[in-house]
Amino acid sequence: MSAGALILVLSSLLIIGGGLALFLWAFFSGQFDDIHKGRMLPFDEEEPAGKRTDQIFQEEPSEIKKKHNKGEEQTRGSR
Amino acid sequence: MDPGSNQPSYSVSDLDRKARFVVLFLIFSGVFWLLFGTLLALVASLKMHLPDWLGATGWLTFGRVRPLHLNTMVYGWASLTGAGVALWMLSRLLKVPIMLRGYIIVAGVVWNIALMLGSIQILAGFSRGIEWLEFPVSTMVAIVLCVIIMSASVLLMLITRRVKQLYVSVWYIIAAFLWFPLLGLVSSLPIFDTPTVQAGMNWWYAHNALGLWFTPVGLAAAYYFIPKVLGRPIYSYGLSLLGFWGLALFYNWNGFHHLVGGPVPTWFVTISISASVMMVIPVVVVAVNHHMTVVGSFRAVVNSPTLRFVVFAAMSYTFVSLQGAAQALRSFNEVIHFTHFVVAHAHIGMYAFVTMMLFGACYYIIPRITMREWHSKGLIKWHFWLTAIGIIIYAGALQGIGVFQGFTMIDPEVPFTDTVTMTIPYLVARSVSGFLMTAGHLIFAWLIVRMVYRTGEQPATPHVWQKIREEFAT
Repeated sequence: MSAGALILVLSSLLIIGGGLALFLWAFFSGQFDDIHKGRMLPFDEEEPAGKRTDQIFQEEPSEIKKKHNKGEEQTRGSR
Repeated sequence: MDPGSNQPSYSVSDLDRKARFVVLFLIFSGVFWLLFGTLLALVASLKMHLPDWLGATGWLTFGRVRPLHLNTMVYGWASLTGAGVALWMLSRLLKVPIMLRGYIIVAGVVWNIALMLGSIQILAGFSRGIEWLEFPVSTMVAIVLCVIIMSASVLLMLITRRVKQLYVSVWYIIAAFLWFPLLGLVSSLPIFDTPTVQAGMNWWYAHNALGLWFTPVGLAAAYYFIPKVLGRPIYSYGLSLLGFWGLALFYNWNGFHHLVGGPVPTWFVTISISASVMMVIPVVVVAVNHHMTVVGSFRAVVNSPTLRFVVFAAMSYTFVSLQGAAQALRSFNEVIHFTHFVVAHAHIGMYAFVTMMLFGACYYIIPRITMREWHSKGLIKWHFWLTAIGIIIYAGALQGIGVFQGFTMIDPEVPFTDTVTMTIPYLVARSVSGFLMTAGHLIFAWLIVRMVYRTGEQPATPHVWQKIREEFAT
């Protein structure tokens, strides 16, 4: 096997070995002890679960009302 | 790490404010290269059916424009913007500000200069001639050193973090910032001198750059933004970890499936094919997890610019990965190898998955770090539909004809020219889709420029999400 191919195989093993080392560290430092709590990690007191964010295409109540009013005015005008 | 320690704790808005300049800088650099790369893509695409166009000018020939398109998109747009998105998510998830911000800015400037010098060298004809690695070694080494500075920042944030448990996005991001420097440095070593070994390194590197650098950042974004926007935790944290460790263990061997039928040892290729098929496990796990989180919230997806892009990207990830596992099989590969099918496959990966994911992330991040609202809701919708329809036409046209092209190419009765001419209408369709995506990119660039360089009257607070934040506070 040429030096290049050997380096490739070794690097691949290094990537997998690194992954395994990371996994063992995670396991023994208690990262997987409470697996059910993990899903709540993106949320905190400031941005708790249960509230949607980024709903900017949702029509706000005021906008819907405005449209409704406009419609009424138009019908009134046509009369 | 200990929440009871006397260190100050940061609120979400503190973290966003501290991230503002560095993340905006990385995103803006990325978008500059996105526009430049798009221009090159259009030129290259038009040349496929107008071969004489610009053919007389050396630096505008296909052999220089097309590699530069790939390199600027990969190392300019996707890497710079991806790094910005990843650092922002990490800061939020570890509850510490982005570390070494000054150094990252310097690294970003060096990175941009390296890209410019590398671009000039490719256009002048000094390409390295290896796909995904056409930039001269000097440019690659400069980029890798810049990534190493960011990796140092990532590790410092990890060490000083204020939360004990790591979310799945954090795993993906840490892994990406450790893997990419290794890939970049190994591929720059001057030892891959024989053609077959060079080809092996080429596809080991190129496939891993996609799978161990862009994919982790993309999936980290999906795992962060889907729960965040829906306000609903991910379906299963355990499954998400299974998906991550599956990727970490299986992906690395996939690259050699590009060399099916090539003059490399059969066991190299066979290992790759097995690993490619094993990737079905983490892919299906991720797909199930995302689907079970999103299911039933269709309105919320439609109402959010972020989730429109992110869900489109997550679905593309499932599609492109399952397709990739099938393509690695020898029987399938025999037909589609050297056809437009593979080109489209690569674009579903880098565009429909990675690029759309980054667009979605930008729509969430930029209002929060600038404290401003998007200028136009209508333009965001235009951006989404132009890019989504564009990539669907692109993939549909090229993969459709790619299969027929493949069957015709292995038929010895058909002259080779016929296998080329039969694709021309579909190459025109590709150019049309290219114009749609270009229009989408211009809209996106206009929106983010408007966001930062504003003129005239503007509301003091971004009303929609500021209101939500006030609701939380009470």
